[in-house]
Amino acid sequence: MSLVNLHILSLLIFFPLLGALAVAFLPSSRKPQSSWTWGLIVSGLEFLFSLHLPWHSGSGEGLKFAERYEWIPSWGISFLVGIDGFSLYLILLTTFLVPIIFLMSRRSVSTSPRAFVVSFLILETGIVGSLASLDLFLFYLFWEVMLIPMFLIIGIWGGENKVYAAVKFLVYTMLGSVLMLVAILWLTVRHGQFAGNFTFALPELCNTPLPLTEQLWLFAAFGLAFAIKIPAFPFHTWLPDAHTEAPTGGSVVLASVLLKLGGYGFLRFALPLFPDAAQVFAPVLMLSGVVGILYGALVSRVQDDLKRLIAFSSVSHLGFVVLGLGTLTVSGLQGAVFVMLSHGLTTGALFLLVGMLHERRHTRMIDQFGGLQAVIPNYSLVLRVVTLASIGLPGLSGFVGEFLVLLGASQCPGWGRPAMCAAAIGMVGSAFYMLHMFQAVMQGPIRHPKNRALKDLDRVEMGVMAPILVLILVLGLFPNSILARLEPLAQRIVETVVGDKEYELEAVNAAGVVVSRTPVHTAEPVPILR
Amino acid sequence: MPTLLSIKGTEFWALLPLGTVLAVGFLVLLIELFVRSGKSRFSILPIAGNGMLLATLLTWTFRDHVFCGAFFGSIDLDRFGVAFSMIFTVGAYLTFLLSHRFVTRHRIAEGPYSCLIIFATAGMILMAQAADLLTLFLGLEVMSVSLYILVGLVKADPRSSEASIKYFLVGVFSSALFLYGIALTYGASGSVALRSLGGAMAGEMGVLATLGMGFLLAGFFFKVAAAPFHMWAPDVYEGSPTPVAAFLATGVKAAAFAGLTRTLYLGFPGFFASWTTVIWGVAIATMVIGNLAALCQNNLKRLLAYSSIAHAGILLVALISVDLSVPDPAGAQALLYYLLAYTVATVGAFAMLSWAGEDETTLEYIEDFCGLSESHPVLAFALAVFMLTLAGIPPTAGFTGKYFIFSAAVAKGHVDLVVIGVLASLVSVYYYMKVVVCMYMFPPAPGQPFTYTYSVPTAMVLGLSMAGVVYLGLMPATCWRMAGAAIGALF
Repeated sequence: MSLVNLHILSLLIFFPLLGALAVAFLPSSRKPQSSWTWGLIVSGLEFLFSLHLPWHSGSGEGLKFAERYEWIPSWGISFLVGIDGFSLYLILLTTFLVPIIFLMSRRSVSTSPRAFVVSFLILETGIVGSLASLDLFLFYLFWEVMLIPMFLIIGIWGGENKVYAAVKFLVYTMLGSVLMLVAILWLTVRHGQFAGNFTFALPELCNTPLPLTEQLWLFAAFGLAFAIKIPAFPFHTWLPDAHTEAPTGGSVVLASVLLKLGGYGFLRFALPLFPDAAQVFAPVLMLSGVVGILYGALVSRVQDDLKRLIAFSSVSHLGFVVLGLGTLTVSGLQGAVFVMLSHGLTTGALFLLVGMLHERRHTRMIDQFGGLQAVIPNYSLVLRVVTLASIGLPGLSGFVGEFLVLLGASQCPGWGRPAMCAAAIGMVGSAFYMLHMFQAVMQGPIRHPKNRALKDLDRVEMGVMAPILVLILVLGLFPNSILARLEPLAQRIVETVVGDKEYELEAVNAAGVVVSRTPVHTAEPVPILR
Repeated sequence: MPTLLSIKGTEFWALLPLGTVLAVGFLVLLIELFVRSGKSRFSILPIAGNGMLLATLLTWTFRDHVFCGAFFGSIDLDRFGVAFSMIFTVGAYLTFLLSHRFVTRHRIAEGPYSCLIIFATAGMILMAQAADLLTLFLGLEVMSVSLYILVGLVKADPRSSEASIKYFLVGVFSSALFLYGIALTYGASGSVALRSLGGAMAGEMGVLATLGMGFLLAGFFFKVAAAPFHMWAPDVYEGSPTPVAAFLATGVKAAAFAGLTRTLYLGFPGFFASWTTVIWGVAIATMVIGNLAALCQNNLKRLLAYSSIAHAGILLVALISVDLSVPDPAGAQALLYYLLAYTVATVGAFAMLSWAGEDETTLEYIEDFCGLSESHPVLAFALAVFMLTLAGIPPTAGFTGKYFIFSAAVAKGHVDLVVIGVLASLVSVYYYMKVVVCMYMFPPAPGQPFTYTYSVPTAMVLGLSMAGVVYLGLMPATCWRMAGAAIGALF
């Protein structure tokens, strides 16, 4: 067991990649169905492995399950991974969703299923790798590894306008990430000048005393990459196209996990590394969040394509994440993480449901539906619960996070109160567009004769939706175990950014050995470059 | 006064790579003499190719026998020369592997063709080992004259002749500039030996020296295809036979950078600030122009030409990301690493081009590759990997190389160059991805299925390039250390 404990993260990162290689080199004479079976087996095992994490991670605020291997020693680059509460739940969400995506996609994806499975497994490696990396070089590597599979998923299996959406996604995301690369290099070079050793390990880079102007530039570069990924207003324009054109599975993984990496990046890297700049940029984040919430809600109301509506609703929900980050309060940060988890479940479920409808009717236009609840009652019930969760009905998962974000905003001095009021209006707005959608699709008279023959959810679909619904309910009713684990982490960030406390990270492996920790700096800062 | 008799026997070690390559060249000429008359189906290409491989192995085996200042201080065989000689001979070897189809299809005489490539390689080796400006010029001319002929080998194709004339005129002009630069430098310093130039002109930047250095730089910029001296590259690449274009894109570029590096680091260390300024501007112009112009290409050969211009810009960034006084060679080390990564990827892409099409047809437009992922998934994957590495997307060699260069540049305070560099790379992602999009996301063009002529040597090149891309991308430590040893000879 200790061997598993020591290498669990490497296993989680590379198991999907090995699975992808295995699927890629299966004899092609076999039936395409075998690709799906293999994909399900690999991703199912991956999910089981990942369940190991919460059971053995214990409490405390350090980074657990850390592993470190030297990779390019002369550049201070190592394979350094480790997780804490911020990454744990996102990793679980990822491993949970991938088998579900395979189960649902095997019905709808007919062209080259093998490539589809391989792309998704490589994507899973990229996501888990990014979430576990504590070395900035490694993080950037996995961050980029996510791009190409997603680009292919949109571009090969997407809708009519797939190439446009895929290229837009790729170029937009890379715009942010290449500037982040410059910032990473700058940070490590400056840390090298200051501390005398060249390293990319996050714990060792914390507390590098950079002057404010440099911090501002670096925060801006990191922040741009993450803001595009979230996406925060006004960098959201790639999202509706990517979502609308992607296949169902692509939309699910994009909405549920990929976007969350933006928020995760802020929590893991941008805020702790550049605390002074974070304080300066906080109002900007808040403003961006509030505008995103309101703008997303308004635009969602006028969409006639179901997928596009959900895409814009994502902009609105993720506005809460940005707002929560900008409040720089403990409840705001906790809320931001919780919104990410809840949105991952609800929006993933919504995309799956729209995908099911699309399979049956081959259209996503809202005006093509109406009165479906009489025809497909089970589907209607599921959609109703998910819609309510997405709106933020108390007792379901959506409420907890958004409430915490509002609470955080109210505690934030300065622009916090007005932001809270505006965001609260946005919450009402979400009820406005989601209920309108539900009404238009499910209620009223049946206008199209084709809709009379729709089939209700079958066993597989029920089996897929059931665990998601259970999780939505569990997160809504018992959020405390997650929030308790997030609290010390959020506390530490707030103390670093708002109060001038040192940010200290400690990465411990399963045997209790510290593999990387923030050093205590005694030297005077060297503020001049060149 | 030194005489020929004062040459010691050990000095001939310095001729090891050059001598081996030339010996193979003359052997090939001799064999051709006898084979021609018999009209047998005997092929010379394997002999020439394996000769190049032999030269590589010999150079590697005797890499520790360095000898500087041989033959009255005109040739240095240092680690730098060894490393570049190996790059050139490997490049020539790969070119021979790619040549079979071209040679048989156009009924090119194998003897002269092989000889010209071998002599061009010899010129390149001379450039990388030159210890004085005249040797450098000799190498430059041997290389260039061979290539003028190689570019125009296909007499039936007007594009080939046009490319040859263009390359010749531009090349001669740049040689003249270069020679003028040598004359002026000699006037300013009274010497042509690189290592004594620096001492002779210590600290002083007279008009003669400035002009001399400027002309030398301009000559090199022509050869590496840096803006604003890049206009010849697209036409020449498009017109030349595919294997020759591959040789141009990799060997010539590497040779010009080897000469440039030697000249600047050994000959003009005192003028560091001024040539840094010049190269700073040229690098920006090259990266911007190369990448923007590549956006609207639909011929893959032209696209690779502009891509080679863009990569030259990034290599120039590496060239000035050093500190000669400390000394800190990180930038030059990165330059060598990047050249290796670029060579591997470019040869791979040209290998794909060289076997695309059957009999008389050539497929070199991006649209010709539409739907390749469905008909030939392995080929599509290979070309996609080469495009990704040229675009610098991890975890490939291109990314690691770019990372090394940008890291060195940031450490030297060239953040402006790095920002422009990464944005230019972003632009490049768009046009490299055009190829991937075509292969993976579009159906094949109706009535024009993708065909290729299978040949074992070309498949070998593809396999080697793929392995190189992955190896350099994931396991950079070993090659990085070797690049450090090579570049250490100049510091």
